[in-house]
Amino acid sequence: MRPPRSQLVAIAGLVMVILSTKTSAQRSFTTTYDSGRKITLEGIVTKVDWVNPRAFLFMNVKDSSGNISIWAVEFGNPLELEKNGWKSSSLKIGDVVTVEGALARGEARQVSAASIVMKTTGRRLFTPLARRPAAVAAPAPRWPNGHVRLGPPPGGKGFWGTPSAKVLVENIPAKPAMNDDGLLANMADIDKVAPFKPWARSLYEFRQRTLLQDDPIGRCLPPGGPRQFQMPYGFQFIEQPELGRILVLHGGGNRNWRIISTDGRPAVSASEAVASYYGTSVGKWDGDTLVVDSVGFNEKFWMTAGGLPHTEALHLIERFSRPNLNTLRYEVTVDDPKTYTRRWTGVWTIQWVPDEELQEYFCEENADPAFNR
Amino acid sequence: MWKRVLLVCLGVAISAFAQEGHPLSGTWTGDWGTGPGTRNHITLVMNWDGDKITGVMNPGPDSVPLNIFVDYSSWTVRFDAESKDGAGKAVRMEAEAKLENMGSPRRRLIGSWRQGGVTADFKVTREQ
Repeated sequence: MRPPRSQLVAIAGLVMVILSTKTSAQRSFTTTYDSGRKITLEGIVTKVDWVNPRAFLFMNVKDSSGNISIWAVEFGNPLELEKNGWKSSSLKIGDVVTVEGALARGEARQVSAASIVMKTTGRRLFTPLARRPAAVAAPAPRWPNGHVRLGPPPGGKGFWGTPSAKVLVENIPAKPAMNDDGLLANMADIDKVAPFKPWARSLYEFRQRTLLQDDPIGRCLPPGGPRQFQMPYGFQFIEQPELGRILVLHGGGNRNWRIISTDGRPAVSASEAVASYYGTSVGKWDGDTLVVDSVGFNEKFWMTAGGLPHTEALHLIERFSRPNLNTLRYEVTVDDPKTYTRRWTGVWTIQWVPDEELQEYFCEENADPAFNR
Repeated sequence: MWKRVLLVCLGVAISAFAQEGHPLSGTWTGDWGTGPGTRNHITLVMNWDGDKITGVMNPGPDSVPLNIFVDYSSWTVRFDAESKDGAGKAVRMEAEAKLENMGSPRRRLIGSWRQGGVTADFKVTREQ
C-alpha cells in the first residue's frame, strides 16, 4: 500500500533535515563566516545550545523600528569552554548580552562571537583562562627497554594537544601565508604548498576558490592521513609492546582510532591493503624515532585542511620523535606519484598536555546548520 | 510521486560520501542524443594512471576503448573512439564536455557528441 502523500513529504523533509545537519556539522570558520564583516548586537538570550562541536546561543535583537529578529551566535567548543571553567549555565535565558563578532556568509542571521558581555554586570563571558606556563622540559620518558615512551610517564596522564601547524605544506623556507583553515592569503602562492601535478593543482585551486566548502570534515568524516595530527582536541598514543602495536586515539577525529603494528611484520603493498582513512601502518624504531610506513588509503578525505588531494597510491612515511617530555616532533613524507611530481615532506611539533585526559568528542549536529531565518 | 520522493532522499544521502581523488576517475553513466526520444545510454569508465586518463565506453563484450584528453585549466574533456552503430558498422565518435560541480560526488560531464554525421547533446554523471 502506498503511504499517504503527506506522510511521504514529512519523511522526506525529516531525512533532508537530518542529512543537511550531518553534512554541515563541522564546517570550517572560513566556509561559514566572513571575517571582514563585523557586527555588534545587543539582545535577550532565548536559548543556549551546548552541543559539540560548537556551542550556540540564540537571541532576540530589536532594531531601531522595534522589530525583533532572531540571531544565532556561535561562541566556542563546549569541551574547551568547560576546560576553561565555563558551563552551559554561565548564560541564562533572559540575560541581556552584547555580542561582537563576524557575520556568516550569505543572508543567515548568524555570528561567530569574538566577545560576549553581560549588559547588567559588564562581565565578559566564555573567555579562555590564562594558560599556565609550560613546565621546564624534562627528558622524554622511556620504557625499560630504552625506547622513548610516546604517552605519559609511568603513573602519569596526559595527551598530545596543540599542533604548531594546522595545515600541511611542504617544508620550505618561504612557506605560503594562509589561515588556520588552510585558505591561502595569496592564490599566487599555490606552488609553494606542494609540488602538484597539473590536475591536482587545478583541483586544489578550485577548493580554495570555493572556500573549502566541500571539505569532508564538514560531513564528520574521519581526518585521514597527516590531518589526524592537526585536529583540535588532540590525540593519544596507547603503546602495547606486548601486543606489538601502538593505538592512536583521536580526540578530534570523531572518536576514531588507528593501529600501528610494531611486531616486526613487513610493510604491506598498497594493492594488498583494504583502502581506509588511516591506511595500513607498520612501524619500527630507528634509534629514538618511530618510523611508520603506511599505504592503503581511500580517496574520501582531504589529508589536510586547505584541500590537498591524493589518490589511492598515497604512501606516507611518518617519523615521530620526542626530544623532551613536552614536545612531539612529527615529520611526514608524502609519496603519491599520481598526484605530486616528487616526494615532499612536512614537519610540525605538538605540545604535551600534562595531567589531563582526552575528552569525549563527537562530531554531531546542533541547531546551527538548521538555523535559517 | 512517492518513488520520486524516496529517490531524491536517497540521492541526498549518497551525496554525503565523495571520492576526493582525481575528479574524472570512476564510473560515469548517462546518455547522448538529439532529443528526448532519441537517447542512447552510455557508461564510461575512466582511470587516472598518474600520467594520463584512460578509459572505456560501455564495458563488456562490446566495450570501446577511449582516447581522452583533458584541459585542466578549464576541466574540458575530449573523447574520441572508433565505435559501432546499431548495425555493427564502424563509426567514429567524438565528444567534448565540461566538468560541472567538481566538488560534488555526483559531478557531471555535459557537452556535445558527434557520431555518424549526427551532432547531439551528451550528459554523464559520476556514480558512487
